[in-house]
Formats: sequence, C-alpha cells, structure tokens
Amino acid sequence: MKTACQLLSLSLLSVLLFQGCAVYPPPQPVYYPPPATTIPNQPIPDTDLVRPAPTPPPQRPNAIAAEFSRQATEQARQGRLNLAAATLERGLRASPKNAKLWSQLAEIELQQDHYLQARSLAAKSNSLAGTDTAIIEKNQWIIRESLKRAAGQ
Amino acid sequence: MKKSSRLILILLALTAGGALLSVPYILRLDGQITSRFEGRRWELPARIYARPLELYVGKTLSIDSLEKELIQLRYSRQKNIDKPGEYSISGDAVTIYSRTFSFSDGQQPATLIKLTIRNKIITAVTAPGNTEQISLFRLEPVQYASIYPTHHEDRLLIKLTEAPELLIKTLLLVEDRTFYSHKGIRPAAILRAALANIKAGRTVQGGSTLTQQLVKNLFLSSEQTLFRKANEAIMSLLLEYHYGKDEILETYLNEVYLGQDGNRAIHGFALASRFYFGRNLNELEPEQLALLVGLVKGASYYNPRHHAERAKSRRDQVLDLLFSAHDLTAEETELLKNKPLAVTSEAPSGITAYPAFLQLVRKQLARDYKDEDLRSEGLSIFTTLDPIIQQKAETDLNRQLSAIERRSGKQARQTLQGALVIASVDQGEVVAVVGDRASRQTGFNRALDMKRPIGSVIKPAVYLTALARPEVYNLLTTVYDTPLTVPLGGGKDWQPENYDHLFHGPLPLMQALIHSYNVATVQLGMDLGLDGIIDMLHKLGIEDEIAAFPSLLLGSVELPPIEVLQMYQTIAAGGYQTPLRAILAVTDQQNNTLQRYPLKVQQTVESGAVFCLSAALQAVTIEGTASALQGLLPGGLAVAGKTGTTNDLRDSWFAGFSGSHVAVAWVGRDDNTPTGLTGATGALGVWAAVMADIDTSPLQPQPPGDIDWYYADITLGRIFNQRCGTDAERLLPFIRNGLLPEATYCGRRGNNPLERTIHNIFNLLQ
Repeated sequence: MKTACQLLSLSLLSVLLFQGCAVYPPPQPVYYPPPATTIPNQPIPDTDLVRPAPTPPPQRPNAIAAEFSRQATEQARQGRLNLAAATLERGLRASPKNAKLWSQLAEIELQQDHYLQARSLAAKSNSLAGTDTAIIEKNQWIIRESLKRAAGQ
Repeated sequence: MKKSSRLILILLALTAGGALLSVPYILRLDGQITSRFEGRRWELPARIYARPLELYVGKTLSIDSLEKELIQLRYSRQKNIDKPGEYSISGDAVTIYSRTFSFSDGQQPATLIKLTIRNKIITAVTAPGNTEQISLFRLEPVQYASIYPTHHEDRLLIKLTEAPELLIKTLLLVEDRTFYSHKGIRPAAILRAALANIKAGRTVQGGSTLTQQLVKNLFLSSEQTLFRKANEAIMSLLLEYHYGKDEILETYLNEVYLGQDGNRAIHGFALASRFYFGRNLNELEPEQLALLVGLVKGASYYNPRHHAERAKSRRDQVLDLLFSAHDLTAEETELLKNKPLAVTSEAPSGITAYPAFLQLVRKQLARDYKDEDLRSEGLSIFTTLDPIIQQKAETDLNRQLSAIERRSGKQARQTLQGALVIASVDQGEVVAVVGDRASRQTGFNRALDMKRPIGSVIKPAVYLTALARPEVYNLLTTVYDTPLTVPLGGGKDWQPENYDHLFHGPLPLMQALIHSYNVATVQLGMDLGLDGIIDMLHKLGIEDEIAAFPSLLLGSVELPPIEVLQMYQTIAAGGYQTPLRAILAVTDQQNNTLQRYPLKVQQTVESGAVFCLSAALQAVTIEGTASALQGLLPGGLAVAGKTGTTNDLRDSWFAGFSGSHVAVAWVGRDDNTPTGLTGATGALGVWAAVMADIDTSPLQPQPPGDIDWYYADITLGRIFNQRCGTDAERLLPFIRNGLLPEATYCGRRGNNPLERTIHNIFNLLQ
C-alpha cells in the first residue's frame, strides 16, 4: 500500500508539473499514464511470450515470371548477357516481388563482373525470398562469390 | 582558210576552253553530290518512346485502358481486320493486328492476336482461331516526342523495298514516267516546258525528272533562274552517273516535302502517311496513296486539312491517271473517287503530349548525350513513361484541384497549382510526371524544378533514424510531446508547436508519427542529433546539401517533389534504393543499342528498421493524419504514407506507396500565398484519386529475417505475452535482439485498480 501511495503521489506530481508547463491543455486522446511509471516491474520470461508469425501474403501463380525467367536463362546460355538482363527487367515489371528474377539478375551481374551490383541484387532477392531456401542459398553463393572475386581482383 | 571555217575553229576553241575552264566547277558540284550521298544523308530527329504495353495472361488491364493505348498508337477500329494498325472489340474479346517494331532487344514482327479480358484481367492471349496461348507479347510503344534537327526537318526513313508498290507506280506515273530509262534529264521535256513557259510569260509547265526534283530539294534554292536550271541539269547527270535508279528513288521518297506543322517540315512519304492519316505507309488505302502523290505538286496549296476541295480534286486527278494507265478499272476509279479524304482532323503534333515527362527525359539524356547528337543521329530513346498512368495522373490532379476550389468557393479563380510524380517501387522507374495542372503546358515544371519546404513529409526520416538504432528505439519507445525550448544560438530560442497547438504528453514513438506531432518529433530528433538525421536523409537519396538547423526536423528543408519521391522509393523498397530512372535504352538508326540504363540497387538503410517504419506509415493511413484514405481508396488496397503541411498552410504534401507504386503529390500556389489546405485536405485527395484510378497492388511488405512479431498495445506502449483482444492491440514488428518494450501479461490492463485510479484522476485534471 505504501508503494502504491508513493506511486500515486509521484504520478500526481508529475501530472501537475506537466500541466503547469503546458500552454494549452492536452486534448484527447491522451496516452497516459506513461508506461515506465505504472507497469509493475515484473519481467515476463521470454518463454511466456508468443511470437506470432503473420500469414505471408498469398503468392499469385506466376506463369509470366517463369516465362521471362526461362527466356533469360536461354539468352544467358547463349552469352547474350545484356539481353538476358533486359528480359529479367521486363519480367520484374510484370512481377516486381519475384525473388527468383532478382536472383537471376544478380547472377547475370556476377557474370559481368559487376560484383557490387551482384551482391546488392542478391540481398534484394533475399529480402523477398521468404522461406524459399533454394533461392536464399543461391543468393548466399552469389554474395560469397562476388566478395571472393572482388578480393581477387 | 575560209572565214567561216576560222569562225568554227574559234568557236570550237572557245567551247573547248570553256569546257576546260568548267571542269573545276563540275568537279566541285560532283564533290557536293558524293559527299552528301556517301555520308549520312539526313539529320534525323531522336524519337522518344513510352514503355511498351505488355500483354500476358493474368495482367490487370481494362478494355478501356487497352483501347486508349491503341488510340494513342493510332490504330483504327474495324469490323474486319486485315492489316497492321487495326483492331476490333467484340464483347470481352479484343483482336489486334500489331505493327512491326524494332525494340531495343530485337524486332517483333506484325502479329495478329486475340485477347480475352474479363473483369479487367487478361484471361487469354492467342492467335485468332487458335487455342494455344502466346506467352509474351507487347504492343509497340507510343512515340510521344521527338527532338528535331535545328532546321526542323522531320522524316521517317523507309527503304524502297518497304514502300507499297502502288505508291511507286503512282508516283512515277504522275511525276516521271520515264524515270527508269532517262539519264537524269529529259532534254525534249525541258525544251517543251521552256517553250510553253515563254509563250505564257510565266512558269506553267515543269519538265523536271524525279532526279532533278531531288537535286533541287537537296542542293539548290527554289529560284527560277537559268543558272540554277543549268546547275540542276549538270548535277542530275552527275547523280545518275554515280548512283543507281533505286537509290535515287529511295532518296526521293524520303526527301520530298509533303507538309508543314508549325515550324516542323514534313518530309518523305512515311512521315506524311503518319502526319495525314495517323497510319503507317503500308497500311494506306489506294486513294490515300493517291492523295500523298498528289501533294508532291504543292503540299501547302493542296493541303487536305485546309483546302479539302482542292486536295480532293487533285487526288481524283491522280486516280484518273491511274485509270488511263489501266491500273484501275472504271468502277474502281469511281468507287475510290467517292471515298472521303479521311485525313485525321488533327495533325499528330510535333509538340509532345507529355511535356513534363519529356523534361525529365531530357535532363537525364543531357548527362550522356550532346544536344547536336540528339538532333541529328536518328536515335530511338526508350523511356519508362506509362501513358495510361500519365493520363490518369493529369486528369486526377486537375480534377482534384478544381474540386478543392469549388469547395472553398474559389471556382472562378484557378489559382491552385499542383505536381504529381509516380514511380514503380522496386525498379524506381518513373511512370508519370505532372508539373502543372494544365498538363500540356511546357512551362515551369513543379514536379522537377520547384523547391518548397516539405513539412512533415520529412518526419519518417527522423523516426527511421531512431528505428535504425534498435538497441535504443522501437515502435513503442516513449517519446515526449511536452513543452520544449530549443536554443538556436545567438541568444534565440525556438519553441516548436503542434498543429493543434496542444501537447500530448509522453507517448509511444509510433503514435507521434501517426498523429504527426511536431514537438515529440523535435525532441526525438534533437536526442538523435541533427547530423544523424541529415545522414539518414542522404541515405534515403536526398542529394542536396542540408543545413543542420533544428527546424529541419519539421521539414523546413526545400526539395522538389521528384527528390521526395526518391526518398520514399527507398522506404517503399525496404531500404533498397534504386536511382529513379526515366530512360531504359538508347538505340541508333540501325537498332544497335548504344546504351542501356540498367536497373541498379543499393541497400542504404537496414531493412528491419525500414520494415518497422513502414508499419507505422501504414498506421498513418488507417488511424492517423491520413485516415481519410480509408474512404477514398478501394477496399483492400493497403498503402502507407505521410501528410505534410508547411507554415501558414502554404504547401500541402502527400507522399506514400502501395505495393507497386510510390507517388508524391504537392498542392500550393506559385506566389507562395497560403492555400488554407493541410496535407490531408489538399495533396492527399490528389494522391488517393490517382492511386484509386491506376492498376496498383496492395502493400504487403515481406518481413526481413530479423523481425519478431508481438501483440502490442499501441496506446500503452507495451507488448502482451499473448493475444489479448484489446481495442488498441496490434500485431507489431520488432527487430530481434533489439530493445523490446516492457512485456505484460494479458488481462492485467483494466484489472489493476491503481492504474484505473491514476487514469481517472488524470482525466479529471484535464
């Protein structure tokens, strides 16, 4: 009870002080009391905390991205890297969050010895890859390889 | 020696001497001809193209938008389609005969395709009468601007082999029947014409061959002197000596003058076809070709737009000639003569439809190309402009400004101005630029060149600076919206105020951003340090120098909308910045790619911090200063953004993004007088209108790997151990291993009598 009284008077004091300084009265909504002064200081063990995973956005079936990806692979195989990159950019216009297309673009940059871009694009791809481990692994390889080759220059 | 023979000798000697003396002169003329023909024959304008419209199954596209694109491409709607440049619509089926086009990555031949569009989604792309899907197809891009040579000659080059056979036949029939047999001149015809002209006392007849006409156009003035005539004859002979008939004819097809558009001269049949009929040469009907050939005689005298009757009788004359040469039957001739001229009412202007976007393109081109190259090399410039979005942006901006003026009773005075810029989130491709409410105006471009204080639109940079220090800050860290005095130096102080002139006490960080509280933002910013904020602004893509004044925290920094767009692009793309681009590639006349402007990405801000910021910016549009968006956007279109208002309501800003587009809108006055508008009552409406209008996807940011989610109470600033179901409960992201807010067992709130008492007393005191 004593603690409670102290807490109450402390809060009241701070409220009065705060009011005294204010030129205008605070409007609604007021987010008070401030968390630090009122929450009982009882840390909750980490195991008691729920960490919900929000449902990931539904992936639309993406035939068009697959088609661009296929075409770019073929162009890259023929050594037409610029064309392959242009095709992948076309694909990204249709499907901008497609981690596979970003990863492929990273790989093309690596093949063109643009190491910094290769790394950046691979990281971008990772940021969109969600739980697709195949793509994430590929991107990690691209990042490692870019660093290695850049260091070897 | 007889007197007469001596005379002959003298004459011969004189002639020989004259001939000898004239050799250098003839050589000079010869040099003129060969140098013109061997080098680049013409200075050709650069042509600027929009993005091509991709057509594939699953794409969102309304029939209406598709038809608008086809109209801009000057396709004609037909019942039965038999050549490129035509389309038909019947129910949900659209059939298009596309034109051949050289894209920067290769040529796409003219193709007949059938689309099925249901509920604004393409559900099938096939060849007519075939069920097999065509996977990738694009329409040729709209050419929306040219950069002309300084002499303003415009032309579209064609090869002789590409020219319609009937055109060649008609041209030779009308202008030069013996073209393929003479040597450049026809002495008999010249003599005949000369006699007729002398008899009439003026020029009534011309005896010029096509070669002579070409020489005259390319090398000589139009004055009618004997000397010029002689030069013309000599040069014609020389031209025929050096070059074949086909090459001369091809040059003629491209050189001949066929019309005028302001100070732009229309040269060649290919461009004339576009200019008068809006179609390609190989898409023209016989009577249309006849009209073009008729125009050779006098393009301004027979101008079909100004002198329709004269033009028609000239066309019919040409058709009669075709009949007498047995190229047409009597019935065909009559049928064709009964057809209208069918020229488009308005010439496709040489002036661009999208001047504001063009200015951005030219700025970016100026980094890599000399002006003279743009004016002469015949470059093709492929840009990111999306004409469908651009048109909607123009209409929406103007319509919204008018609506605001109507609401405030300033109907008559169109004093409000605006700017709107839109880009794709992940690729940073600028798709629309509006720099004036009268969007065809080529004057001051407010989207690119106007610098205004950006107000609260800057605040995300302050909160991001905090969130990028996860060991100290998270979305619920307490910030203080309490009276504050900031020493400015020189004995001066600054006491920032909120828009509502009230203070809101200590509150969770995200609440201060959601409600755009100035005082809390300044307190936070001063705690973080101005250098840190400036550093963050640069990381977000602001290139200008920024002075370290505390007022910076409330957006006293002046920036053009396009730079604000770059800042929000970085946020929208999760911290992965892509320099905004308007140009994709430049190709030369032979379709070789001179330059590709590749997609470049650089992570400039930690994704975790940007992800948390985006959550708060999304809350702004749901329960904060931009909550009006909920009633303006279609249901399900999640967005994030921030309003901005400057002192005395002079500038109204809104900057934000959906899943695929980032856009910035500004509303204000050119003379910088107050508008009475906040970000929410002015620019927000413009932004919402265009976002609701275009095909864009909802915001669904992918959380980076270092994000944990918790149930949190966003008014109390705590996280719960589990789902609690309170009104202020939200699922919030926090950076793993960063500072977490105090956690509390669910159910504690409201059950604690002490807490209730304090709360009640506080409310009583207000």
